[in-house]
Amino acid sequence: MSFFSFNPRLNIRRTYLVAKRDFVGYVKTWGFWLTALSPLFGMVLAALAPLLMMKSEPTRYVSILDKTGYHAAAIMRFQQDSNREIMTGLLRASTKYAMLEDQRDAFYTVLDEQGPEAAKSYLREINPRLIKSMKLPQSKLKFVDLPAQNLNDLKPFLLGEKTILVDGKAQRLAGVLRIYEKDGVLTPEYWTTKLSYISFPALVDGYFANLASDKYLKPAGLSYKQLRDVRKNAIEVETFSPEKIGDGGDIAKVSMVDRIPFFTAAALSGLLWFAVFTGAYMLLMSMVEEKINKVLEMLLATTRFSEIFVGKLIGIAALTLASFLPWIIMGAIGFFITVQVADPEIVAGLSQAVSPKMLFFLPVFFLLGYVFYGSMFIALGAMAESMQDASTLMTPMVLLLTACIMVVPIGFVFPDSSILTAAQWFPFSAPFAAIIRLPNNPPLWETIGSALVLVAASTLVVRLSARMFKHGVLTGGGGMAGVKAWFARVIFRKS
Amino acid sequence: MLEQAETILSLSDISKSFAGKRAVHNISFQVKKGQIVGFLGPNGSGKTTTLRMALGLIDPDMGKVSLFGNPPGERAFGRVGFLPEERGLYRKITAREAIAYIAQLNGLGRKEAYRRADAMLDRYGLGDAKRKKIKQMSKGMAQKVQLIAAIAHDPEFLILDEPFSGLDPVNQKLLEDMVREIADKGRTIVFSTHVMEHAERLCDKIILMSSGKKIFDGNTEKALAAAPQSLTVETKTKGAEYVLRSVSKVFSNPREYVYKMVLKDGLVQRDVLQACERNKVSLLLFEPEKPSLHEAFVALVSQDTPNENSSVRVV
Repeated sequence: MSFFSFNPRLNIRRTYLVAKRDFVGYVKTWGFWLTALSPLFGMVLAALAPLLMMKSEPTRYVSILDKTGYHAAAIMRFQQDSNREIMTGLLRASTKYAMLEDQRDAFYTVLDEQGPEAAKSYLREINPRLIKSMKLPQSKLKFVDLPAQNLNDLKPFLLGEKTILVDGKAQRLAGVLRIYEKDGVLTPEYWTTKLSYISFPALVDGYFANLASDKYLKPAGLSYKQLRDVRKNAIEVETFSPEKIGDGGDIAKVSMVDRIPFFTAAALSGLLWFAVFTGAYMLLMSMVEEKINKVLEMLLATTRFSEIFVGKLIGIAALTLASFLPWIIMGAIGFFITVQVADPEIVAGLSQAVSPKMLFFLPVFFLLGYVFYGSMFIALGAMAESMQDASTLMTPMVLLLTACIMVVPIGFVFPDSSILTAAQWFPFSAPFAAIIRLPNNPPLWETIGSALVLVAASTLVVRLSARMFKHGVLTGGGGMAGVKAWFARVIFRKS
Repeated sequence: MLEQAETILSLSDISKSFAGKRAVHNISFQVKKGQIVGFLGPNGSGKTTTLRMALGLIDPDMGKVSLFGNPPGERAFGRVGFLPEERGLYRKITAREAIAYIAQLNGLGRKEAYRRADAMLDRYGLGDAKRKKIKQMSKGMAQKVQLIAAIAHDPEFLILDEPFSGLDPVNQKLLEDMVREIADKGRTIVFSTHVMEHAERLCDKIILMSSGKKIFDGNTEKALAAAPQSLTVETKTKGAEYVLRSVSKVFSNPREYVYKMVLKDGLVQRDVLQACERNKVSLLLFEPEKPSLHEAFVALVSQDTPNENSSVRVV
């Protein structure tokens, strides 16, 4: 038997048993489920964290010691205006998809014309369940009267030695803003022991920034508010694409929706990279585990090399898909909800992103990329004698994979880049480059050609890896030195 | 024709080198149906490499291997049981799962594989450890589980590479009984070892390897004949010691007038008697000692690597 030959004849039952053992062996462990469900835990935590922070944030009581007699009231007004703006934005965002269009338009009119408090009252009348279910934050910054008139006397309050009375309850004073003029220069000082609480100083900074803008614009009879309104209504350049035809048959305007396929392709390409990397890494670990447990020689007396090799590829592919199941389910649910509630334009954009071409080529490139990288990782696992060996052997591959992920940002920003076109013909980056190029509608032959290059490269890699695997499992492997010796022997025919 | 059909394993002039270093050189032997064959030799003599070639795990550089009349490999799967020298099982699964997995790969159905795993674990004293994970077992227990995994599918031919190593004396005895029991069912067994006592007690045939070469192939009696002869002699004749030393390779005088000796290579008891007669040494006791396989092994290995000083000269 030639050292390069790889007999692909398989016994289905034995291949299935090898695949099943690899799959079940991992799926039965707690570690697998913790890893698989960690994105869900992460997302739940990420969603709950701001809510928890909001709930746990104590109300801060601050006072203003204003020697100018003007700024204290102005700052309080500024805070109210800011809160109103934030609340308006929140009410607009949280009701966007929760109301019928007519009801929503009427609500927005009240919100824009009468402010958030009136809008909340209005919502209480027309949709009491909705307002009840909304978790709208309340400002945790309260202004209180000064308990003393100079800093020395205020000190015990700031240190917590004395408290202030708010609605009959003793509360601690969080800080004092002292504003005075010194040599004609306005000086604000914030005195506090709560050094990590920066919301109030930030609010004061915002107030003084507005004041500076107003001061600059006033000689021209303008205000900062006016400037903001003007900027808000400024003309924006519109993008048109000859590829996009509007309702009347003319060239149509390009909107954010038209860019959804590019975002989606970038996300899917990144996810593909992650899936291929995860699968290949699991293959390496499974191989190293069997090497360390010294199981392979016994298996080889009952099973062909090719059956173990292919069985492992199938078993770990199933495992990779299982570990991505939470993502797939979440994605499907997200897609379904979006289709139901989102703007029809967004739905159209998503439909364009999840095109038949994408649905066909995504699994094709996943499969080819997985076989290409997975075979190499199996061979490296077979050459490893320990976990340390595995890490050393994996490092060049990880560097290569990391270099290949660079096609995602390049493809997103410059989908017509020559680097991306070249990357599509380079087997290591082909799966990711081909997917990210799809929304740019490259010629079909290029995508198919890229897949064929990957098929050819995978065939070669499978053959070489199978030989290396066979060599590695029955010798110690030898780690990096073993790989070098193997290449010297096989490639350069050096004994 | 009949003899051909009874040959389970046949190796013809096989050789194997690794990185230019010769591991096995021009080995030929046959294993017949029902035989227990001991594959003996010091560490690094090429036993494991030969067994791996016999199973088709590695290909010989030269020569031909025939297992059940075919090249080794897939056609023999399910008919062969193999216990490799490097012991190992999946550590995170239970004993019965480990045995059933190998049995299923060897062609048994799932239910039957588990039934046999349970039955054999009970039979070989591991019934309480059925649901114990391999990683929780002692080395000896895990080794027994692996041996059961190798035989659970009731193979026609069993290859055991160093099966006794790492086992305590009680388990070594148990393993010997297992081997006899399997052989009694007409199965063929080849096992490698460097502990001669096991081979001496179990084997019909012995193949001795040294430095990658076969240096002996035959039954135990034939092997023992190669061992140097040991004698205990008692004589009160003056000068007898000089005569006895001239035929001895190893000589001692444990008590007055009694001499223990190992004869020089190539000499037999008759040569001692003739030397004594020629030199008028009258013998009060002449007691040959039964040679051990170990002694035969050492002698055969040293014959293979002849020493210049080993020429025989008798007074």
